[in-house]
Amino acid sequence: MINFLIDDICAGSFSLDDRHIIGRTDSAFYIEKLPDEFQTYAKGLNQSTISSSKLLLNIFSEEFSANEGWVSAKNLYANFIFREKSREGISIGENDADIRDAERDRLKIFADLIT
Amino acid sequence: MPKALVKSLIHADQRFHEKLLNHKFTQNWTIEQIRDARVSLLKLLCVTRLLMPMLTALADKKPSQQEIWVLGLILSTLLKSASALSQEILVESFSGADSDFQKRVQEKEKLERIQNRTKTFKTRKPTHHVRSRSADTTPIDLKLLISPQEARKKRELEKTRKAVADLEFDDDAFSKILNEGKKALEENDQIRQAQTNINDFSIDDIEQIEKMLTDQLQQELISLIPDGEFIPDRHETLPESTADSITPINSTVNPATPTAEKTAETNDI
Repeated sequence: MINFLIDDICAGSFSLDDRHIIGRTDSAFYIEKLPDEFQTYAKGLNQSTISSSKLLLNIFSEEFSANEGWVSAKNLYANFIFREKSREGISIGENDADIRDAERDRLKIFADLIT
Repeated sequence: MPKALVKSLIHADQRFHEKLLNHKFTQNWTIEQIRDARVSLLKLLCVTRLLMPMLTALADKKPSQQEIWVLGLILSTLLKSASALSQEILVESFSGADSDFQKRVQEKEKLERIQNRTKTFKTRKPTHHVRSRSADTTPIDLKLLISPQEARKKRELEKTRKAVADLEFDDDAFSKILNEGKKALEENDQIRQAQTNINDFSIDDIEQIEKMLTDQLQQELISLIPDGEFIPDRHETLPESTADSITPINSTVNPATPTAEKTAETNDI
């Protein structure tokens, strides 16, 4: 599967200036043209194509579901969402730069904790 | 991080590395540029295509401002930590690769190092410290520096020049002193001559001077007489008054004069 993805990425044109964004454009594969061993990862989809990121997610979904790190990160994120909903937070149209910076600094702690 | 994912990333890196070395557009890339591309691919696979979609799937369909900010901050933190992770994966990938592939990469690296060394040799900056021109100093060029033998010769030449200059200076001083001495002697002679002249000065000389002066006066008076008139003999034609007025300095005093009378009176008293 990885070979398949890498070959797809390398099929594009390369330039030295764009080496930091190699494969940045997500590819989409026709499900019916996928190799047989990958057909199982594209099951249950209504559209005829599947993106490479979706394919990757489906491949490693089982691995992650049993992973402690991922489970705890998911719980922390859910906890954060719950706390933020109960708290009166900053409005989207807030223009005060100081308030926005303070809010971002507070959220940075959560982000670091989750990652 | 699941082990299967790490293994997949290592495998992906090996494959991508091989592709980069063989690809017609990328085979001339340097090891450093290939390394950048490999790190970029690992970040893409791990963060952009896997972890971030998984996290965004957890978010609400209509996320709040805080949620959007948190997701953005998580993405930036993941990318940072992925850089550190990718370094370890690159090492693992290289150590787990085929020996032929490893040799190929090492040869490429060696060749690049030699090329860089020759390139830097051609355009190498001077290793020694060069002071800035603002300090009013010229940079030292080793080619312009003289050899020790030349320096020794130069020093000897300077020494002899200095010694000759000292001698010349002494000659000048000596000639000056001589000139001064000569001048002093001449002055002494002149003074001595003047003293002898003063000592030799007598009454005859005074008479001579008197005679000269009377002759001069007579000539002046003659020049005052208009042209065409009879010019008598020098001693006879002179008017009496004029002749009386000219009295020799050393002539005897006339007793008829009032001064003579006065002196006679005083003698009587």
